[in-house]
Amino acid sequence: MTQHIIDIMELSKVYNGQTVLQIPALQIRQGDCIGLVGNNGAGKTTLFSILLDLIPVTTGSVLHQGLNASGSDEWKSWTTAFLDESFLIGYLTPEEFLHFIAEVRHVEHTQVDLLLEKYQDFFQGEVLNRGTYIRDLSKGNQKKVGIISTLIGDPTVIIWDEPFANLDPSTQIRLKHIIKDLTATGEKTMLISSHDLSHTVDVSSRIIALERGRVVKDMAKSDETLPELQQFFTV
Amino acid sequence: MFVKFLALEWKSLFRSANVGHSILIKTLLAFFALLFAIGLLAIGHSMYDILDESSDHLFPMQQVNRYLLVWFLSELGLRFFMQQLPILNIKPFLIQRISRDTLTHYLLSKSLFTFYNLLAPLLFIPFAIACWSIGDYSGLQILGWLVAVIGTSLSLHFFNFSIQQSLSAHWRLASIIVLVVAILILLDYLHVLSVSDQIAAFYELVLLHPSLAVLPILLIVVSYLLIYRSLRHQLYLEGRAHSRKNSTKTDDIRWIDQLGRYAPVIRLDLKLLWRNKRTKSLLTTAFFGLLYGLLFYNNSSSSSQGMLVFVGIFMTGLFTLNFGQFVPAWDSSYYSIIHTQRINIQDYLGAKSILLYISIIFGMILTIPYVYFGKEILMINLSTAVYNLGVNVPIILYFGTYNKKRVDLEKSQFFNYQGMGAAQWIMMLPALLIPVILWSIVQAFTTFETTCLIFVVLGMIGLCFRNVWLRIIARRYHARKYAMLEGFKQVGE
Repeated sequence: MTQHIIDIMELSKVYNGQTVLQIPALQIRQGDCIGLVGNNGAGKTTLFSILLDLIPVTTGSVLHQGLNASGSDEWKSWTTAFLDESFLIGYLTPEEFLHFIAEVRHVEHTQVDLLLEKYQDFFQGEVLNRGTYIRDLSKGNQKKVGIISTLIGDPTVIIWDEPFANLDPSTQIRLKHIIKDLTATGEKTMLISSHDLSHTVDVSSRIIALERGRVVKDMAKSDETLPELQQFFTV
Repeated sequence: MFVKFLALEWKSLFRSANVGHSILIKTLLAFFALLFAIGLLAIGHSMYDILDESSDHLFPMQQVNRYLLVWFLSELGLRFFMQQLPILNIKPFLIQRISRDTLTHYLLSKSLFTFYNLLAPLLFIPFAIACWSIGDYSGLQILGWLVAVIGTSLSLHFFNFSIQQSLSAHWRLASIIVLVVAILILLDYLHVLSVSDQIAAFYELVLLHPSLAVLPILLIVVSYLLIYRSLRHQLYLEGRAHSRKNSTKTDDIRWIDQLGRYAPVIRLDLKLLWRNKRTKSLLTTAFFGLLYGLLFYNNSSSSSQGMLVFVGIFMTGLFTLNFGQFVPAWDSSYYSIIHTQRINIQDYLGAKSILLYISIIFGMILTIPYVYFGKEILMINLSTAVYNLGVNVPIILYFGTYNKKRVDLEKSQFFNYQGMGAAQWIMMLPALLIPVILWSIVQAFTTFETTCLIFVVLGMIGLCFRNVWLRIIARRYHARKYAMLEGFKQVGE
């Protein structure tokens, strides 16, 4: 087990002369469940967008299993992400959307149905089989659709930006169970950003804290992690 | 309060993401409006003389009265399709200490400042002045008549909003109304029950008793109250949100699977077309565009062959022009998916081109009945359709890559320039003009049949090199990926 799932090298991102992200080196290993924490403007979403090659880097590069993110499309077969509503198609119903994703990922329709059955509780009977377009769903329900859509096709790398935000308490707890299930075997790598420190510490195996675009903490989870983070973010 | 709202509007114009663009378009529209206004003014001015000569026993005023119904109907039609109730983002105001009445009054009074309300005054004031200065009628009579006509026009302004609201909610009602109006027009035409005579008689009466001009003013009040009450009633967020929620049955259009790797994107595009306001109005435009030929084929004296080629390109390619120029901007609200999922850009483009091919072939089939106007016209339409398939589709898809403005799917297309960039205007020229010029040049040297053949061959060559130009355009997509992703994120005008 030597190869890194994601390799960040000499990465920097500059907007209008202002450096918003500066990461000399960061390796993400298979089985990592990374909780990314940081205040607004720390660069969490920017980092995820760069990992997905949605915004260009100023310097440096991102490698997915040795493949350059901007140079190849291969990594898209094992990586999925849900960052914001631009990852949803508003005029489709949730089922149509999930089937669309399955089609472009070359996944059988029956697998989607199995997946939906498995995560039936997660939707709480509010989303599926209603004939409602995604654009008419509430923010929380849209997020549920987005999260489930990233599980299609058995990806090994999953990236979620603020998955807990907008979700009701029960769904937050269900989501935590889902994350723990997914990472239990150690095959899947997850990257999750959140403002909720206790949720993040609860589910992740490794915590990375960003501040003004720099990695200020990178540690394996232990019992002291939560107090330490609370200490760190107390002003 | 009104002043504060106006100040907000002003800020929203100048602080929007692309100020220059929206101001440019507003200036351009203002320029066209000015041209149109001058034209109307000139017509109004000379109308008296023209009508005076055309009839011996009727005053020009009487002739105008006979056609007032036609004017009002067309004004209503124009308003119905073009004019929209101004939009005010009410959410932040609802919880403030601003009464709902104030908001509604503001919305409605703001709506008055529109070009459509100038049409009637521009035409009829000069005409009325002419009638008065010649001495057909006294000043008071003319004044009463003017108030009555402009008053009717203004009441149409408010009635139109009520009509739009009730029709968009109940489309069955719409078809009934259209039927009733059609029957009335027929009766009028057959002189069974002449509505236009009734209308004319009323305005004649106004000329006799100017005090009757009060009636149209009452009509304004009624129409205002009507729309005011329904708007005031709807000024709750929930009301709007609920009426929008419509349930559909999940439809997977299985037969498209035949198209293999293109299937997912084409299926998505078909849903895009059916389920969004803007694309729906685009389909309507494409359909009515097919009737364009009727305007030209009837008076064969005025139409040169170049014109017929233009009509052919336009009729079979209208959908391609309208839809193709916004590829990939149609997908702007979810463009991240296109780039994070395993969608090969070349396949994506291939799927889009197939959709355009289908539309052109549909247009080609539907224009076949025009053979009634001559075999020549059929041949021109067929060869321009093939030219569209092979040459215009790549040109339009290529120019589409210059577009990095988000398209708001929920707005109607009519007079909607949102998402329109300079490239879209420039693109129209090569797509529409090159074939016309080319045709004229080729035709100067050879026969009509050979010219048709050359156009078909050009289209075929374009189709044969399909993979080449798909690859070239896909390369453009990669080069402009980040610019597009960023541009598509910018919400707003």
